[in-house]
Amino acid sequence: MNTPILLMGAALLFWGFQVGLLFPAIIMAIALEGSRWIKIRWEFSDRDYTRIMDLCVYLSVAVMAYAVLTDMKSTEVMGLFAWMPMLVLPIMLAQVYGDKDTISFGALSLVARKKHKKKQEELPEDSKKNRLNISFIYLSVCLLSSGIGNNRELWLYGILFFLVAWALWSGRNPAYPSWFTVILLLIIGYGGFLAQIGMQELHTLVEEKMMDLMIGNRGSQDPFQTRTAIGSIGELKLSDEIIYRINTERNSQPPSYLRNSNYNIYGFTSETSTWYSSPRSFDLIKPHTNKTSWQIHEPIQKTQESKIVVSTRLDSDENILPVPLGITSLADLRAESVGLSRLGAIQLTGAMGWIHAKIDATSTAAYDLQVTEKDLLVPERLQSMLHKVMENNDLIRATPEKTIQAINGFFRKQFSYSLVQKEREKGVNSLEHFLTKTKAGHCEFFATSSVLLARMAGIPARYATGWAVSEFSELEQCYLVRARHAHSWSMLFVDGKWQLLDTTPSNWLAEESESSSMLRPIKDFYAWCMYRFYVWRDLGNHQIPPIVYWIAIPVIFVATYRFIIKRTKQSELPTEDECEDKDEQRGMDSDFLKIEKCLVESGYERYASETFISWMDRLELINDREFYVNDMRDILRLYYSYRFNPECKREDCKQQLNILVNRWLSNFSASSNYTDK
Amino acid sequence: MSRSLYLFFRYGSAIRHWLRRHISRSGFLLFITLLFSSSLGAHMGQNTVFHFFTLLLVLGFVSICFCLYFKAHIRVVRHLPDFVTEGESFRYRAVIENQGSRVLRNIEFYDELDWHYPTYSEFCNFNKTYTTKSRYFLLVPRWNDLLQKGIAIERERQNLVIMRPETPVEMWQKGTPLRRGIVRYKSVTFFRSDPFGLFWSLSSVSCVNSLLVLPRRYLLPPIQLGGSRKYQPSGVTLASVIGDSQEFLSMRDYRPGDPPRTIHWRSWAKTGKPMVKEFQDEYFNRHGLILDTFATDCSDQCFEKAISVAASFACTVADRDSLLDLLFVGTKAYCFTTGRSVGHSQQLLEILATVQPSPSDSFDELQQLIQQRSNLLSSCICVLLAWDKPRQKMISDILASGIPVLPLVISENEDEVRAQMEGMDSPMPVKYLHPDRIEEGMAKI
Repeated sequence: MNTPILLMGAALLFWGFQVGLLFPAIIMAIALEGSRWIKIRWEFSDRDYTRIMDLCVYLSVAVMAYAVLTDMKSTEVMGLFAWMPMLVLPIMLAQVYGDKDTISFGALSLVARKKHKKKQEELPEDSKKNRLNISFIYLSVCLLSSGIGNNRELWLYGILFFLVAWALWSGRNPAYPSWFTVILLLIIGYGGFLAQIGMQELHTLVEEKMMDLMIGNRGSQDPFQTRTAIGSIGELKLSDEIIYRINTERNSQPPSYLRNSNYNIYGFTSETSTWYSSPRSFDLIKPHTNKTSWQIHEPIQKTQESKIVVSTRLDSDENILPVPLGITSLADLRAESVGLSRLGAIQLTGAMGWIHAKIDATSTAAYDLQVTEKDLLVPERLQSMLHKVMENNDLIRATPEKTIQAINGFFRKQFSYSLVQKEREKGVNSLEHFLTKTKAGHCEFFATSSVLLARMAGIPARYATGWAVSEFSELEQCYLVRARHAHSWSMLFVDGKWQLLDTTPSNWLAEESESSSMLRPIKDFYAWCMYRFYVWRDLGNHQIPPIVYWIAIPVIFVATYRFIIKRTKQSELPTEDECEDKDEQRGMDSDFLKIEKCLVESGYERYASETFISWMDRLELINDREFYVNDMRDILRLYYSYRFNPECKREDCKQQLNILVNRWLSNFSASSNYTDK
Repeated sequence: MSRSLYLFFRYGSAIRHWLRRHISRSGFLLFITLLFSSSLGAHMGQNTVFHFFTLLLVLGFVSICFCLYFKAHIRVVRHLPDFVTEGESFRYRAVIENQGSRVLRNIEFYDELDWHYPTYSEFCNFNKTYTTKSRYFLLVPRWNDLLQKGIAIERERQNLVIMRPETPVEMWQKGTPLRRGIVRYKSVTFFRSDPFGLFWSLSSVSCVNSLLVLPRRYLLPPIQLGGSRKYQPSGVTLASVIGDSQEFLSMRDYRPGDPPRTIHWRSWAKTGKPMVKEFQDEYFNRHGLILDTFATDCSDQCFEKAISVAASFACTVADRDSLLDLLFVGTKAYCFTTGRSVGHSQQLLEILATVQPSPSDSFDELQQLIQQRSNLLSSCICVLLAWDKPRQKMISDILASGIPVLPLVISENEDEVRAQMEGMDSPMPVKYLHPDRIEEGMAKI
């Protein structure tokens, strides 16, 4: 069924207005609606429709390829859907200007194409069951794409409702009275309006919940606040997704830890446990003249330097770059700006997509802000419990170094690593539960407890989050940092500098890796392939100007399409030359021609206009020689079968022909006259 | 073949069937658009596709509400023909009466057949007889073929514009039989759509009928079956007097039971004892049509083609001067005779319409049946499903007993059959017919 008159045009104008393509929309609307007045029709076969549909698919693929090659943001990719009415316009035009008002299912999808091919053998070609009018599908595409425009005025919803109601009216059931249908449509319109308001509220609610769930899943990226999983019940699970790739220069050791940020204020409730940073600001660092290098800290003289390259994909405009503790400079980084927080976090602004940042670091301790009074704060509600723990375990020593050793020993001897937190008694704080009852937990427990115990002993301490660097990939020849390598530890201020203390049992990495997926090698390989592709593409961006892509895509497309047309034509109508060559080839490699050659040499030539049969008839009349004409006739029959019968088994036929020809030749040569001649 | 896989297909088909009956094409478009708009509209801050989504969602909800209940008070009477032929369209009349109190408008009418989904064993067995190429990989088309096979008659929905209460409406319904056999009509389903034509509500009315679908038949060239007339010991006493049955042969003494009209009164007067005239009516042609029903190694298509070939011969060979015996093995060995007014070829077609593959694998039963009747038969036509050793032996035995035979082998494995034909010790007049080119092959006989 076709859409009502002018509905398609109206929908196209609505779409054009919404997505800012009003001028193309007007042309498209005129082209489609004009078919009602223009009487010219083209005779399209089902194969033509298939080709046109293929063209639409190629156009869509080209657009998607463009999106991948230009590394579009997800919002920009969605914007491409706004082009859909343009991309599928060819097939719609083919329908309205074709002699049939429907398109076979076979043209629309590969699965249907196979089914249709099978069914066509059984059903008559004009069977309506296998054909479809795509007018309403196209209308749906237009209305769907119009939403990409993101215009939220109420009257636009009114127009959308009017277009939908118009389409529904054309296909209404006449059994119901018109007034009833109109009332029903108004109810639907109003219901839709109310539903979208409810949907927006629901969306906000779900988004908030999802944000809560997602925190901590890829390690904290907020430089000023990190919510830990302390207090959560159940098993903590992190994925095997590769987040960072770290390449080191020759003879250079990779850093054991990459730090996101430090946190100095601890807050907790019965269910949650959060670390905060203060002050909450970044100081912009001035780039070098090349705009891709930044000096973060002045290196201390006579210290060994390590040089690494951190590769990762950044998905948002502002990102925290994990760096080694003793970072001195950043290079080869395309970012608008680089900020450094007082607690050591590095923020990149305007660096989207894949980055391959060169980082220089010294092996000394971190260049962080000096100690403040916040580095000694312990929540009052925890003080008595922590004091008790320290007394019971004799953790208060004469010097800070010995206290640190005692704390480290306390955790190493008495605690174990576990990703599972069991139910605890009501009113018992999760940290107390960890320190006094279970004595098992994950890194956040250990790091938080170490910081608080150190502070209780009067040592300034901070909580740090980041990543452990431990896995070397033979495939990629670099260090891999996965989501499950997210880690936390404590930073203690001793001897006038910030030093790292990781009290988490050293088997935590092994325990984490035990929970990794069986499919990890396959996923890793896929990730590596994608990484190599992006590296190649990014390098390409440096060397190949974008114009090349713009030229290459249409050329590939045209070449592919021409190939398809040519192939189809070849399968339909083989040229005469090709046929002749083929037949000639089939004949020329036959032994039958030896007989002809032999007879010609003997002086019994075949006339130019003479067929083999009439030649044999003539030879039969010659009495002075035995030509074994009957044998020749059998051989000729076989030769013709070899040349022209498509069902003939070539190899068998050729072999038999060879035997008969050799027999004839030996008989002929044996006859005495032959030698005389 | 695991049962879980079968159940997956079984319930998958049931769901698909249900959806197709309850959702119109516009309804499917609504669902697909809902699907796309839900995924695109998920980014509610970046686009307004969700406006379209919510509108369609409410539309779908309202439409479905209209389809929750529909009960038709309708009486249907079908007037079906006695029999129809596979592949040939037919029409029949149906009288529909609205027995409710309300006028029904724009209702669709659809005949329901007594039909069931393929059983597990059918699925497995069909698997065995399927082509080797797709045996392991293409389960979906195999299942679809089985479903297709289950459709006995192709029919379409008919629209009834208006049905007033207590006013019978007469309509003509068209159908095309897709397979032979007895087809049972179970009920009639009435479809009513919602105000926007998106979904259907259904109501069924019981209406039981049956229809015999005769096998498809091919046009045969004139066939000259060899062989001589043979003595028929039982005579064909009930046959009407046709042909050379009045041919005088000799005089003999009266035997009790001889009909009085054959008494030769003059000879009785001369000899003084009752004499009767003896006629040659017990000698005539009797052809055997032997149907191979041992379809263990052949496809369903082959078997159906074999039935059609046998049906073609049953219609062509049986003339008024000869008898035709149809011999085959079903649950037991059967022999049906027609010709010379003993029966009619239509009866043979009715029998062939219901022939099923023999459950037994033993070919001996058919051979015994032929041996019992070999002294009566003038010639034989054998429609075979393979050309293996037992079948070759059967044909050579028939030939050895002096009966001309025309063996026709219908098989998809052309190469195998031809190799077997070439590998025979003594040549036999066997003809190969490809199931896709039956008429072409028959024309060459």
